Amino acid sequence: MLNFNLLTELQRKPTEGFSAGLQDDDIFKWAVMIIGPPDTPFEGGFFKAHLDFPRDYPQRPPVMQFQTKIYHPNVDKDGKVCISILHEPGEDKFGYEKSSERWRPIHTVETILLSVISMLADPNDESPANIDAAKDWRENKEKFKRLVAQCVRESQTSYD
Amino acid sequence: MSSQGNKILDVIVKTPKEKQTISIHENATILEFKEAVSLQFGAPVDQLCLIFAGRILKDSETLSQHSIKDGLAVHLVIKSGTKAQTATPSETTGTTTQNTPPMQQQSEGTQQQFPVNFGIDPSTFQNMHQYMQQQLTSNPDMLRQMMDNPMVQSMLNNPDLMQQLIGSNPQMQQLMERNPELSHMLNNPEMMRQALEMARNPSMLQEMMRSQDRAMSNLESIPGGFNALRRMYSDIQEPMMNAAQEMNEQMRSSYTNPGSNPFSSLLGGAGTQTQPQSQQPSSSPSSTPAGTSPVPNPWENRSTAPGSTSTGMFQSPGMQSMLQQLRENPQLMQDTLQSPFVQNMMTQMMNNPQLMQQMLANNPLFNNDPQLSEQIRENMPNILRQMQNPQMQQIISNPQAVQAMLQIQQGFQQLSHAVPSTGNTPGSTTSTTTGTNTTTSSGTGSTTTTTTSSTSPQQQEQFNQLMSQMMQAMTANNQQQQSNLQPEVRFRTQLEQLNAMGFVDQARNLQVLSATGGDINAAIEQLLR
Repeated sequence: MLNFNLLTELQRKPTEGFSAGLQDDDIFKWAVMIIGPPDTPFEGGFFKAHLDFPRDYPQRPPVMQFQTKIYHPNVDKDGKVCISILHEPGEDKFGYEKSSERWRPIHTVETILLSVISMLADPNDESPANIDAAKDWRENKEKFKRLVAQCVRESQTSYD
Repeated sequence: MSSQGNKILDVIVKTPKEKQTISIHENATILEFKEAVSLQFGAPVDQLCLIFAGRILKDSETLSQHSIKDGLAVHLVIKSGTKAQTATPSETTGTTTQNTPPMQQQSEGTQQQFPVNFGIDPSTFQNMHQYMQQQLTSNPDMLRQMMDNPMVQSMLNNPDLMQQLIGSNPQMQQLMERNPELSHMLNNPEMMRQALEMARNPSMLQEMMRSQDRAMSNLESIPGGFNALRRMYSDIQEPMMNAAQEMNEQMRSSYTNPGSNPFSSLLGGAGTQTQPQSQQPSSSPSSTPAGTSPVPNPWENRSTAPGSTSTGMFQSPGMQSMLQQLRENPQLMQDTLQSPFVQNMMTQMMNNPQLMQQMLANNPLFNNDPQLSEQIRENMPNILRQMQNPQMQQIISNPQAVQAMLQIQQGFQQLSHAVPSTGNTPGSTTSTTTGTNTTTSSGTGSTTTTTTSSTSPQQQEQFNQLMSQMMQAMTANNQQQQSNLQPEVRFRTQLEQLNAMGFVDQARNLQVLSATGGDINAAIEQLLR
């Protein structure tokens, strides 16, 4: 089981910035905790997310959904993460993404989460999932930071 | 939990910076575990946050509850008291939230005030500069637009000029002396071009920045890498910044005090015989905003020192190759002709035949052919008189008019070829010359006819040739540019707009745009049909 090997691997040699485990005993439902990357507005936050793998994984990508409220251009209001590598494989009908940027079976939980962490540090405002966040990120950094800081604070208190 | 079978576990605890192994019995609570961690990492228990398998471990829970086993790794985040203030903006922002709105309003207010303040206070120039930089970095479109401006492009495409500009900054020179690699880089036109190309392409720039960030952080994690980076920063980046700042200051001081214009080297130190700006022709709507901004205008500042001619300016390699490019690119020529400061320059030249002569003598177009330049010089007063006419200026800057002229000209040539016998008689010579001259001047036909017919027929012949050559060159370029020079380029902005609206079929867009002559509304209608 590809997924399971990876999980034990991750628990022995954890990767920087996140921790991953199973939600229950279902190997297709993962719980991850993303540690707000340092030197970003998200620093200090603990962002919980669920990764739901389809049965035909790795042919198709998992869905990643934050359980913690997070204000970010590429995370929609339901917490769903919208980054190109989590999009179904193939050509983008809108011509935004190349197929090489989208889901490919060589991606792993680790590469996904590293992408998500880099996404936190460097939002992609070209195809935002949260328009307000993208607008603030682009035009009103102060407001953006303030709202993110609110999320960070909430993420800390909800676990203590 | 009972404490039977006290098996000792070795749990790896990992922070972003370090990794330590902590031995603890398997039934320990998280709080006990934290105490052990606290000892090893030297941080108070209440600042520790342990994460395992995607969950934050709570004090009351136990290791076995989370099935933390021997050899597994737990993430540790130390919410350090000192760092928390800076790192976690949460607490501070909580209190400042109420203060932020007025501050924001203030900053927005100053931004809005800017255009009003232009030219009032010298310090605003610096502000404006900063503002511009901010805008440029936050708005890639603007940068791209600026970069796409033909004038800027020609300047950037011109390695000589760039080198001159860079070389004229003393701090930059120092820097280049100290770092030969850097000077090599700056002197390498190909490199410069690449860098500029990069700057013009926002996605490429972004991509580059991103991969550079990655590379930097990779470098940082190499032993000694951080020091190398720091050295690099102090060796290169800071002097570079200083140089740029120096330049800013120069610009600013030249803004307040025209005496120390950084462009003075371009002008060769000798003032041009420029006239006061009041003589600027009121014709031609300005297409480029260049003349309206308070940026020091290199053409208008040297208003004193009459009697000397500006050899330095036209002989500088930068200027030479700029002229060359002007010749090669009619679109640029047009744009330049329409920009206010060139108009200004033209008037000045007209009022100053000497300057014109000087220019012609140095112009690569003419100085290859002494006969030609001789011709031109003799006919200079006429040409100048023609040029002075605003109508004429409009005609020159109108490609269609130029084309029409060429057609007439060709007609006359054909006529003289077809009926060669008439070509030898003095009468017909005059008639052709009159014809051609009318074509070149159109609006001022009557004056030129009289002036040219007073010169000898041979001269007229040569003058005709010259004129027709010039015209041909201009129209040939124009035609090429108008028709062949890819519609992609001509309709680039429209194409981008269409793309943004969701019309992604590039070929169809082009076709429609060509059909509508670039009218985007009409194009959309056609596309939707």
